[in-house]
Amino acid sequence: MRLYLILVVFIIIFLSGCKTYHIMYNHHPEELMELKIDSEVPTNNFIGKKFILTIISDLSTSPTGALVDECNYIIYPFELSYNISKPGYVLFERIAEELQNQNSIVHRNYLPGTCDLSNYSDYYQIYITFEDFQIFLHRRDEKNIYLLASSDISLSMKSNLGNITNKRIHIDSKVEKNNDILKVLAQKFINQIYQNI
Amino acid sequence: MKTINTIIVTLITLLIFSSCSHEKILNIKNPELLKEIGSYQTSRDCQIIIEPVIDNRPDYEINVPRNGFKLMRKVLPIFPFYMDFKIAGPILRDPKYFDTNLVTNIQPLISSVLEKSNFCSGKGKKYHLKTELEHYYEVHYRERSVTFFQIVFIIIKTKNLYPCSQISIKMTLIDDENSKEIATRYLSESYLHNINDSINIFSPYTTIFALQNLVNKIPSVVDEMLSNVSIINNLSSKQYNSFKIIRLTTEYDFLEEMIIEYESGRIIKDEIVKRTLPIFSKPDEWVVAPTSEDGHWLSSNQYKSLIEQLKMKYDIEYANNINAANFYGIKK
Repeated sequence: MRLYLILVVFIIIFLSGCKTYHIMYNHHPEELMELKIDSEVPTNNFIGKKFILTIISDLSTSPTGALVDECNYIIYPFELSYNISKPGYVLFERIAEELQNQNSIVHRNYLPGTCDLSNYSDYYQIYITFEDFQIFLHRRDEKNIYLLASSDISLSMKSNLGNITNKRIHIDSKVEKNNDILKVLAQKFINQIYQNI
Repeated sequence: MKTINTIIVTLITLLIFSSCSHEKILNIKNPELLKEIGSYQTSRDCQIIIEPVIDNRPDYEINVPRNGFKLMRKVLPIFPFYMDFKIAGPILRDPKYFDTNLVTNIQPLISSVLEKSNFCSGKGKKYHLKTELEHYYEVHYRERSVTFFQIVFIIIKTKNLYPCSQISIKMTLIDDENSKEIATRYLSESYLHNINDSINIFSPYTTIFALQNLVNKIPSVVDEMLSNVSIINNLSSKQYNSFKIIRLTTEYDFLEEMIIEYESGRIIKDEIVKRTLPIFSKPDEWVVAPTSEDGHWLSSNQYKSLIEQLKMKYDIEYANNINAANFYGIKK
């Protein structure tokens, strides 16, 4: 009787529980899988605007990315193949690129406090800390393969009039496999800062 | 028979869900960590006082969760003859195995690194280096599949895979006289898994590799922080016989360095080296290195003076990077 009770407990544990995939404690691909699919995101135009983008730090925790294969119950880190050993820096470059695509002038600053910025008083100065970054290639089946990514970013923005805004933003995206997810994230970032321009 | 079966199943259950540890405790005060630290030929006139390290790690890195197992796959039991399930998840290594006094021992480690690099003479103006530990962990992925046959036969397969580690620190340089913060920099280095890696009791802790990478970068990062306040004076009016251009590789771990003879434009040296400098450009763009011949970081004014001299013969301009000028070749 006791033995059967133990087995029943096993069966209950067995039938309950959820299928979740984690390579890292603070990364949640199952939440990102719930997002709607993005294609390119419409962005605001920044004609005539000037920016200095400064990267303070990239604090994203490793492993940053993983392949999640539901069919074969595999989860496999793939940081290097996506060149994402410094994901914050990669996203920083894409953000600068997207701002330039929106007709603005952008200067990049990698070493905060090194240069005299008094010649740039008519520029918006944005200081960026990438608190975390996660990216997944999620394979549901042969036809449904998605890229999922999110980043938590702290930023401090000083306008050309001297007003300072500090905020923490979260950007995330889900795209089909052959789309450029970093471009979409960069677009979402610049849409967020547009609110403070 | 029933009692024996109960005992067997209970023991097996405890075995499945428990973990035992026979891990060796490391000590980061290991001279091997300093073996790749180079030495500057000249020193800045400065004294650096290394303050005790502040522990800013998130809670789950200090108080490591028991395990991160989640149920991944299950095969419905053909009761009571067969059942099968798989659990998997991240396992953080208990930090006590990295070093029993991890946070305390980082301070002397940094001190040894800076001393060996000889970038600071130990005389002259005093500065404090405040260090905060943001991350220090090793994680791997464990899969455990369990199959029961006929209740008493059980097969357990455990795979420990994909070891990864990361160490991140924040360094702030403070002027001793007026307690003014001069600069803050973050250093973050990871060990990323190799497809052939697996964990066994003989595997080295991957944090050692991440720590080695981090430690190699500390002298040049602190040197850069000092560059505008502790100037290398003998460079101020120097004419350059040769200069260096640098290109960062896409994974950010290596630099291609080229040394060019100023008068002729001849390439004297072209090599790929492990990156020890802070990141100051985007990958794949050639920039003029903001360093002196023996590797010290130039002040902003010294770098501008270098660029002005080089512009007389070479196509160089600041193209959207305020830290370094882009190099495009000989002027036409």
